Amino acid sequence: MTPQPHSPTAAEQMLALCLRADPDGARLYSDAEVAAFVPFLLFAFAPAIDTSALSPAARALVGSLAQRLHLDGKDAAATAAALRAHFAAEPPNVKLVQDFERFFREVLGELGPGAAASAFASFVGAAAPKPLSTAGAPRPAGTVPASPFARFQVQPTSTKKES
Amino acid sequence: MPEIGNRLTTGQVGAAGTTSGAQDAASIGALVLLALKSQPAGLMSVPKELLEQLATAVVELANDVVKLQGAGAVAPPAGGPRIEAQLTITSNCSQPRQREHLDGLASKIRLKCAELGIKLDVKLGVKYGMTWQLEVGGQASKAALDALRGYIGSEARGIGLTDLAKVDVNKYDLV
Repeated sequence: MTPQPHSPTAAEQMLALCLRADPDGARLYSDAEVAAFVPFLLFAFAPAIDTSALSPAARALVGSLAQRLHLDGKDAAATAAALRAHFAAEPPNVKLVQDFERFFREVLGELGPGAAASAFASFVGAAAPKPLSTAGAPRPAGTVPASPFARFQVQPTSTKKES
Repeated sequence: MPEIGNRLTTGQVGAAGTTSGAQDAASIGALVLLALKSQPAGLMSVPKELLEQLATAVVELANDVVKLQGAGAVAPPAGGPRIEAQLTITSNCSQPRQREHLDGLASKIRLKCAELGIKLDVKLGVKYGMTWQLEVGGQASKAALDALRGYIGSEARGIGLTDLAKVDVNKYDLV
């Protein structure tokens, strides 16, 4: 019996992106580029990161950058600003970032059209779309339910001017 | 747990408990990440829906990357004489999905090498037209290499490469 291939986890897929190689087997992103990208990614996900799940070495990777940027003693807003300035001056590999953004779009697509629409709405700063009518609420006066015969149920209005 | 909020100080680092007062990179890293919970740096546009969905995977990725990068520094375990090894995993399937599976397998082999404390090159390339070939080469102790071969075999079966892949030891010389 042939075993069913298992689908790679999100972490495995992201690691594969970091370790991508060209057809000759040469890595697209060097160790240094990946090492510079990982703190960037962790900072981006910081609001949802469980720091206790990070290994000491991974925390140290972030911490060594923080030390280099002299973040010790800075408040949260100044920390965020210093990180923005740092990554503006020394951005991570653009293609690696694009690889991850493409992956995020794929994951978002798998979450369903609602998630994608909501993400797009928040991206453009729009409010979440409101439902057209409240479920169970009485239909507004003068409207008819949609159906192939709806046009015959509409009451003719007398507002038309006769020419 | 120190109150993060407002300032990242050496005192707070000490309170985080990993070191006694001295600045510790791991503690500072944790504090910076905690500080950004309330004040996102806005470095990358990550939809809110994805933050919760992928946060655990991002942590796992970070742990794996540092594990991989530390692999070179891990002293090889004592396991008898070291051998020059060349392992080849071949897949005849030309579908793109197969390439993705082999990419994933290459990542796992790298992690396993890190875990075993050996440093082997893992290369994935196209050989002979549309045949994918994953090559693992370098020096390792025989014990570590045997463990690696067993792991590769079981992982290859796990991704459905049973009848498509074979693990050959092309070179198996004592050095």
